[in-house]
Amino acid sequence: MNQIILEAKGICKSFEGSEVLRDISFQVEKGEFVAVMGQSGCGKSTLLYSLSGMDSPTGGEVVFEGQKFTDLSEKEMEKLRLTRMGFIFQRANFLKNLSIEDNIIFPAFQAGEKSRQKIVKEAEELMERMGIMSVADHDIRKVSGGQLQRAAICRAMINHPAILFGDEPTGALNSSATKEVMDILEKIHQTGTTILLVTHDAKVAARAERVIYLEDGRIRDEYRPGSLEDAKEGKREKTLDDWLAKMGF
Amino acid sequence: MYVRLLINDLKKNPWSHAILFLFLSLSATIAVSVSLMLVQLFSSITTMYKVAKPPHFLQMHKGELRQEAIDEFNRNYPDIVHWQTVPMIDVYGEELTVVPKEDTDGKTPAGKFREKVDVTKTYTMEDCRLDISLVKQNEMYDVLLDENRDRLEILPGEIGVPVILLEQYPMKKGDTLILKSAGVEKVFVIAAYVYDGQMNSTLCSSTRFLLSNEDFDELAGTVGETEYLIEAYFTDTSEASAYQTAYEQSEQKLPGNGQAVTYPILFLLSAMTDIMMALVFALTGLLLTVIALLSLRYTILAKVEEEQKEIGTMKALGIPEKGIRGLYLGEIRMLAMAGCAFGLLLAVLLVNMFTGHMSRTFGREPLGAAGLLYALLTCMAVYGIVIAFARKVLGRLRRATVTELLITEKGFGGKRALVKDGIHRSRHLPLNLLLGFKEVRHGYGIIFGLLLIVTFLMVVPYRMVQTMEHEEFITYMGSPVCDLLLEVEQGAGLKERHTEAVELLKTEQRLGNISDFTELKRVRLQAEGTQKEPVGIHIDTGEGAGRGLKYLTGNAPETENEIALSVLMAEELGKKTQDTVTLLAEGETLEFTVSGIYQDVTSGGRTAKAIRYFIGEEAEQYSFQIMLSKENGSGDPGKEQESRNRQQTAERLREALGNGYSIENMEEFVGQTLGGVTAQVKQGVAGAFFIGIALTILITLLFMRLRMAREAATLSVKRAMGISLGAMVRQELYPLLIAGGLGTLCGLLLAECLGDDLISLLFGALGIGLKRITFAPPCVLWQLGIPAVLVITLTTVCCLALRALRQIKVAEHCNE
Repeated sequence: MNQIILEAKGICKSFEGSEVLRDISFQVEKGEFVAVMGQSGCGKSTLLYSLSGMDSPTGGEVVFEGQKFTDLSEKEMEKLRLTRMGFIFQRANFLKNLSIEDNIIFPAFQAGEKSRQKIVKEAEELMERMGIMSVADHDIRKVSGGQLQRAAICRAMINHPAILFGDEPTGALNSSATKEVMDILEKIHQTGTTILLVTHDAKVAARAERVIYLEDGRIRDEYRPGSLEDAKEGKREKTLDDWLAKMGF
Repeated sequence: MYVRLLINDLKKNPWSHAILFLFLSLSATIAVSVSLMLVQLFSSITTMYKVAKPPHFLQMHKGELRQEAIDEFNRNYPDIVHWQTVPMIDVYGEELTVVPKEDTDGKTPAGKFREKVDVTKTYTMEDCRLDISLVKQNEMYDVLLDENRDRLEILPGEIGVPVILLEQYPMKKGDTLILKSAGVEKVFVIAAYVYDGQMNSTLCSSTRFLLSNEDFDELAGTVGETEYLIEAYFTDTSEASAYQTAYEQSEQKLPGNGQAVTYPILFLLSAMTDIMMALVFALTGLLLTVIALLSLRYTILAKVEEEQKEIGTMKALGIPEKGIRGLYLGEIRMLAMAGCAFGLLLAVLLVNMFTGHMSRTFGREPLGAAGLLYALLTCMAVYGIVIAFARKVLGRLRRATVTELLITEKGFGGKRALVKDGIHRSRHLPLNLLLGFKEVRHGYGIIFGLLLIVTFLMVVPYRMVQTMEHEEFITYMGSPVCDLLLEVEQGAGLKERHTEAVELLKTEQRLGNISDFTELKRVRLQAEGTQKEPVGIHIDTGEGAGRGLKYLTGNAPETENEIALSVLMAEELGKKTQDTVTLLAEGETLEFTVSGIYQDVTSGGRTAKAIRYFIGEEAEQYSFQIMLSKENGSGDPGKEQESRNRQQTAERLREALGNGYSIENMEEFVGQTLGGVTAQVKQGVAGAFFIGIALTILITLLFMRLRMAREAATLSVKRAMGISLGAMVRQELYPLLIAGGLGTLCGLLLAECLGDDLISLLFGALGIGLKRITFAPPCVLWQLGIPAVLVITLTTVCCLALRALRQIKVAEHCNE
């Protein structure tokens, strides 16, 4: 069995008396690509924020790389998020007055674990790979949504995280930009990075190895869409659609 | 609808609206207060002058009067409506003793002087710098008034004391005032406070106590020395200047060995203290309005940026730009209207606080319809400025397209394609500092502007007070820096008293008590005016005349045919440095070259200095500028021991010379002459400090609140990425400190470079003979202290505001 990188143990979360997450338990293996799906308001994002330590669950426990979140101090949590986790959101939310490149290197400079020269070199390699080197010194308001999201992936990857969290990372993109971004995420996954993303797009979820379906704050079912070979033939997407239809999605 | 919008917005951003409302209210309050103060001041003086009827022309004189010559001259002078000669009995402060009356319950009277003076003790007025005169009431003109501005009636055995002396002495009605002079002892009960139309400022050199006719007649010729106020009234006050020239040039050699003053100078001296107060207020109000506008701009921009999608949608729906702007403007109108109305109300309620000095000096003047009208107009002007400014800021709504607002979300700014000087290029500077330098260029203008203005607002009035309290300020009063000033007073036996003084000073010099002294003789001559007309000129003559003064142009006279002119004298004669002045002296016409132009506020600001002694001309007055030896207190005026030594030497000389001389410790001379003005400006300084700090706190709080609302998503992402709270606080604090620090530095530089220019401009506009005031050397402690206090305030407020970072809900903002 592969090593478990992230484990949710009976997570509950309630806001002002209303239960958003109810007893969620599952494990994510190292190097796995997991997508969480469900109807709007089912608690997908809340689950993601609880699993990434951005929000505290009201019940249950999260274990990341063998460490319980509840055992960690605020500073240790901050360090964990900065160096071991990467985040991609629907909107990149970059620092407005920094260029694309500066936004990418910002978390690495902040972590201060490598020399600045090395960080810049790595950032430029990442940008080259993501095809955004030409806009490296551009103002964030002067590039396209797709380029911005690719830059957000670079930012998330700059500290070589063990896991990449994505909250609707393609939610604000058109179909071609969505494809570009997902191709990149797939490549990252192939290098061994664990990915856990929340989406309502079946095409995006079809790229994952496992899809967890959430309903009213509970895990209703899990599904493995098939091999990569299937995906290439478009079968994976089809079988996922059928499964989602069964879920009432 | 606008009310509903405002209420909804108030619920959403209560803090920013409250702060904005506060600024608008304060701006309106100060603007209205200034207008009310000025209206009150001029109406108080005018109303007082209606009853008091101070002279349009006043000539002081001691010695033989020759009233017939005055009468004859006046009878032949056109446009003169009335003239009179008012006798006064000049007495010395040490001859007047006040015995406070104990209350019936044995307690001492309450009053603001209790802390300064032990009011249970008997005291004399020996340290009064003003010349004290006893007078009786006049019939119709130059009438002394009570607090209700009615003609004051004093019964035998009673005395009316000048209201301006109450700031120095804790006299109250019922106290006993004992006059002991020339072997006569007379006891009076203080029955009233005298409101004097012409001698109501410490900037004047004399003050009048009112006696009953019976008491005055009894004392006249028995005690003190008689001095006369030769007064004239015209159909138009502007006649006074021409009359003065004619009077001084008259062939009859009319009496006039004292100061001559015209109505405009009297008016100005009366109003000076309150004008200074109003000026400090006006400056504060102006700066406050600028800050209110900056805050308004920041709030509007934050709001439209926040609502760019809504604006984009409205544009897409075809709502005209005017309509969209109207929505925002309507809300600002409501807020400005409420702020101005509240400010107006506050000013009307508080105006009495600022007009206390006015009421004490000129009597209480109720707020009339004219005052309210001016207040309303000022309020409307503030409102108009705010709306015009908001309209201009909202102009940027027009520039953004629907695509920019809805699709690309590029908003209303962002014209740059490339970002220069990326942080990736830096190898060594701390990241948070680097970010601070990047961030400070965007949106921190308000903090820079705030700190610049606040520093300027705090430093300039403080530097003004510091300059006024500096020993060199005396040089603006026509005298060089010296330890003691001895004046041989006008009147009978002037020459003999002069000789006596010279002998004493020479002895003191031999004994080593005095290191040096300069003697000046004041003569009154005629100069040739611009139209060749004769112009009266008072010249201080002697070896050291004009030395040690601050010259606007040129230098002190160095040869016998050179003369230095005061600013106002030079203007009157139309002369510049190196021009020739023609004087009629010693029976011939003499030509002098103007060696320099200096500043002087004494003698109506119209004086001159020459080395030539004019032996053939009779002296009006003699004065000696005395430098003491080190052991007798020469040196730093701030040092207590030296000050005490100086005081003791002055007292010893006073005792040795007796009556007929005035010996002043220069510190006291400046302190007492400018004491009232300095006290008012000091209040202004305290106010400026309070306002400055309050503004810094409020605007920084407003700025931080708006910034945190605006940057919520970015801050959330930083939290999500694991950026530590400490780093985030530093990232927010550094740009604030950079902008604030730069603003403080620029404010300090601006205050040092332009502060004295501004003050000079204000003094110049007053026309009292001061054109160029240079700030005294700065006190390093204060110069560093003010920025330090501001930076500490900025840091504290920022850290307090950033406590909210802990409460940021990452999940709420990241995907907004």
